Amino acid sequence: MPLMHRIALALLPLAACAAQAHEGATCQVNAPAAVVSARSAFAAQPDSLPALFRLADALVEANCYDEAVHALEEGEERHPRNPELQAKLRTTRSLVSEQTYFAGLEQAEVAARVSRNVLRCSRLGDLNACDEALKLKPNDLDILMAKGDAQLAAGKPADAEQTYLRARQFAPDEAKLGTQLAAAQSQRQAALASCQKGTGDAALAACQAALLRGADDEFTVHTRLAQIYQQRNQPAAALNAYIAANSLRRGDRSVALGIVAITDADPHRDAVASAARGSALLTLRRGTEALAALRQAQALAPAMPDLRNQIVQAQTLARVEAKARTSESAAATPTRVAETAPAQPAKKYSNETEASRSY
Amino acid sequence: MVDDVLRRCVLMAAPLMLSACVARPPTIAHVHLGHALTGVHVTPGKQGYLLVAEKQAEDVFALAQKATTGADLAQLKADVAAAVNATNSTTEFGLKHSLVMASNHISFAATSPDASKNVQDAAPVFAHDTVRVVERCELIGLLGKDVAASSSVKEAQLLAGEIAVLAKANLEGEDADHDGVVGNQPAEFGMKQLRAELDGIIARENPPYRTVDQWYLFNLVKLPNGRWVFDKLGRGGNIDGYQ
Repeated sequence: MPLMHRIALALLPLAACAAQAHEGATCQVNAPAAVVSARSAFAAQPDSLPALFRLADALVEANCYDEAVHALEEGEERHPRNPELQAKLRTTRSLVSEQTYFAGLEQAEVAARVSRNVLRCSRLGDLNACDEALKLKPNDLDILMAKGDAQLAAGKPADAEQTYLRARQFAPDEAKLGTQLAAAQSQRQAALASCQKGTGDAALAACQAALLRGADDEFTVHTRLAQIYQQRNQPAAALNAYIAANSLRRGDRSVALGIVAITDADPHRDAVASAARGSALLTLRRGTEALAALRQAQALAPAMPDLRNQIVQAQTLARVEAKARTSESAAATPTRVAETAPAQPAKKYSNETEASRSY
Repeated sequence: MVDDVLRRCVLMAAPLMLSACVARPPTIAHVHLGHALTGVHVTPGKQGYLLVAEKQAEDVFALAQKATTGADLAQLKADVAAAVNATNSTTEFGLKHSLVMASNHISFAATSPDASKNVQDAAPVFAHDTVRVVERCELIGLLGKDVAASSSVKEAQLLAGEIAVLAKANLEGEDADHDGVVGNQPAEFGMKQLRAELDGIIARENPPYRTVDQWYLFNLVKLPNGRWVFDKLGRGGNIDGYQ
């Protein structure tokens, strides 16, 4: 198990460092009152053994073992061969090594968990185990490689490509990484072709496998996924895919039509769906409807980003539409028609004569 | 004539009498070392902690090897469970517990008033060097749980194989850095290297370490004031939680 061994070797020295760093920080910054008081008493009487012992005891009580050992070692120079001092020094040194030892045991537990997850990730293709291992060691090259391999084996070339690319940040010259990355890219291209040309479940699986965040073809894959979901009568998934595509490239007419078609069929829209509908209607130059949808989104989620800007655009467009409507209606309606139109009979209310009556 | 015989007898017996007079109890530090090496009253067969740990390491390896050859999932799981028990059981002095106790007793030796500088210096190093074996024990426990939860013979066999590799490393050490040498650094240590390390500590002792008599091994007690003494009543007890 070379991979697990390398990780274990890397983890072992951490224990002592962690324990010592923690102790040092606590003892120097937030020393308890007893330590502060014992320090001043000892500073006033540096030759006093009882004062030294009180300081050492206070430091031990505060788990500041290293500092206690230093204090006693300094005392040893002033009081050589004092049996009580020797005994205290021996015990305190033992506490230091004990603390390091227990930190080591705790670290062993952590290292074992990492090794277990790496083993399951690399040997059994257990992606959950890969993620668990990366939680503890997020930038570990070996674990990233193992995860990429597991993703590739699971037919997720896009995810594998992403993982290998992340791993490459830590080892740009790693030959195996280059080979695996090329394999993932090749597998993804094949999946991309099936996604575009295939049908049914196979096409859906291919699109999901090929979908790579940040890739040039991400918009195309989302759009294709949306179409496949629509064909399968899965409007929620289709809408999500269209929304993802729309967020990548706003203003695409086919995506806008897709979003409007799906949201037309469902009047109970949440904030995201309303915002997507508003955005799509803006693309289709339907300002008044866009404004209504965007305002609905704003009412549901006032903090949603980019809404305000789109609302301003929709308001402008709506005003243009209103003007156009007014002009159209003015052009279409001759003024004399209005003049010759029969006058509406004035309404007569039963209480007309009762001015004081409240309606 | 009688006087002459008597004188000769006295002269011949004198060295024996003298040696009887100067025979001293072992140092407290050496008794603690004896608990790690030779015997202690709480373990199975009253064997020293390191001996128990070595025996358990052998058993774990044998059980794990048996598990790797099993094609029957239930039997494989039973073998792995037994290997995990021999690794991590506290009540039955599994490998991990026995090794930690051995390390603790070497640390007790280092804090004894009569401890040599050799023991004082070596105890924390030995404790640190046990960590890799402890880590393998932890991993065996985790993989054992995975085997117990597995419904696939193939997966269980693979995991049992890994447990066997770990068990072998716990016994003999490993070559983690692939330099062609097994156990040449603490991160590669198994029981074999830890035994050698403890033997080295013993060999460096001055005055020399001698095998501690069972009476001393089983009757060392810690008083409430923290002092270690021998229980003159020989109750072989466990005073103040000392194990």
